[in-house]
Amino acid sequence: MTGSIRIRTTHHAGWTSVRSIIRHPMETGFSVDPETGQVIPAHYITEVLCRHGDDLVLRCEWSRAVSRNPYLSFEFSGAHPGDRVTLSWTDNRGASDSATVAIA
Amino acid sequence: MRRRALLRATAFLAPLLRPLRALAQLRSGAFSATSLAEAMRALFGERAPEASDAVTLDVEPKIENGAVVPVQINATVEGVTAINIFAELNPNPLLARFHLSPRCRPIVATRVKVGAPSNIVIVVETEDRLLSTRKFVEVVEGGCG
Repeated sequence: MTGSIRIRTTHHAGWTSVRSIIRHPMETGFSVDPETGQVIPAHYITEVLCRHGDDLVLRCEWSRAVSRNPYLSFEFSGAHPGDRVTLSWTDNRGASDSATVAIA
Repeated sequence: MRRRALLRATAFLAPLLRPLRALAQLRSGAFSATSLAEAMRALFGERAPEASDAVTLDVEPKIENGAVVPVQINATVEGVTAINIFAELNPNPLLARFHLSPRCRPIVATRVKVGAPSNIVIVVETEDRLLSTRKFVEVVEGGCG
């Protein structure tokens, strides 16, 4: 799942704003494939972590009811332009991905 | 000898860990709960959230496509530790739970699936309070299929 995460950051008045989109099907396990008539198995992100350096800033627990290609935005203080922000996710099948950007 | 010591340590620790494990199971059960009341009980026990103007939920009142419902939550209280999003009539009403470090501003935005016209309920947790708000959303096409 490499390359599944897009992150945009802005920094203003001491606050770092993070906006992110993760490419993921977020299958609920309730929908049926119209071609095969088979139920599509549940496949969704269960946890997203955001770190500034080694410091865990935000931890998200998600259900199957977060929309496909999840969008997440939040803000935190105490970081500076150029610092590194890392976002990582894990899904219900144990797959994961992580991306790091420098704060703009 | 070492094995016996290990056994003894395990026997000693097990009862201490049991309540923690029970709590963890209770919490994780919140996501599989099938009613709002059950999900809230799993998260908060007998504590009831209080309705509060300090919590705002931005969501469109009428949604064409329930598969993509943008929500933004904003709290104007200090010391927010967690933000929870529920959709009252979804098969599993707890949609997402955000754990905020003290450095986080209590503002999060995401997009969720809402299966049927129902209340979106937000509960914001601080060290000692549960603050809540709710908004009814009209959904034309449900988003859980």
